[in-house]
Amino acid sequence: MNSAAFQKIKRLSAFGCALFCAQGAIALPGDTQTQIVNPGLVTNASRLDFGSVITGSVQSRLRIPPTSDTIIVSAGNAIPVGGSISRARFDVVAAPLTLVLINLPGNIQLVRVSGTEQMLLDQFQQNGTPLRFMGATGQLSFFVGGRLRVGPSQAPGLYQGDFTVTVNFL
Amino acid sequence: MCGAKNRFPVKLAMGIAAAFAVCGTQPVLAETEPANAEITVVRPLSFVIDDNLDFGSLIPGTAAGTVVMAPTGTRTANNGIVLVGGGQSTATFSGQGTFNQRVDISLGANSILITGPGAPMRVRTFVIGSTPTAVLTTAPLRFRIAAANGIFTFPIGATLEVGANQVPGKYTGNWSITLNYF
Repeated sequence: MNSAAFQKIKRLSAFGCALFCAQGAIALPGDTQTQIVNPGLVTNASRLDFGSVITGSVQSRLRIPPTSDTIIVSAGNAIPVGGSISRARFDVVAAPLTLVLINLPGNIQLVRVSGTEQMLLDQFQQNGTPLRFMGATGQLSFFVGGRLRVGPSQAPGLYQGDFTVTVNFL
Repeated sequence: MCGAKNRFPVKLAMGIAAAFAVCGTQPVLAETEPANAEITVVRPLSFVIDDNLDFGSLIPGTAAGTVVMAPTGTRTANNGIVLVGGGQSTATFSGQGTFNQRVDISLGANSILITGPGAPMRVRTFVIGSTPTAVLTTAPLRFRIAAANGIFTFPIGATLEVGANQVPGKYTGNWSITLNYF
């Protein structure tokens, strides 16, 4: 091989190498994103309200089912006389389709305002299974009812009590 | 499912392993929310309040105006006052007498003041949701119980005077109502 041909081959090799080396490093733009979501927010929208009731002559039990804003006399002869009867409602906001576990309390006491007399509120129930999925919009509302014991000599007045619901975001 | 034995091919075994993971998972977050429960107990010849009078939330105007809470629960305003949200309610009272029993109802005062961060606001013209409706004053107003079982529940609305550019905040006050059975 003469020197001219060798030189040509060397330049071609260098050029080829340069081309090869340039193609080994290519930069492309890309997008990435993330959504930060509050794991969950629970709000009590309405209280559990048994309205007004006249005591009966015997121990009575009043129930508000979790499925409707109605009152049922499940035992005794107390007389519901109206007022704003309602289930408790809770609104939940979380990432869509999040699995949640809803826990209800066992029982509480309602206490007469400006007094000490009490009534037992128990058998809390929710309108659905404790384990459920959030909706596709990331919202869920559930209702809670309960059973209240009214004594035949229950002192008249307004009785109130607080209970706590726990929503576990799984 | 958490106690299932792993006797299956690889793919199914992976599924069961995932199931074990779910069973053993601790919640990411647990939120507790308090709520209130209540009931009003009424005894013969008793008289109790079921709901308080609440005008809800509003945005004052640049001029003085009024908010009217009708016994029906309808809320209206004038002079640029903007009503916002919900939560308003009439006062509601319950009691029991006997059918056709005479009952006299009167107020402790024809108007009261509610106080808060700004100037006090007057609440006046209390209206009882009887048929027909009537304005309650300090002078006893006579009614008769219409229900056969002697049970009655009645709403009361009123009018709120809002000052121009009323200072924002919560305003509260007390009023009294007297009921005499005959």
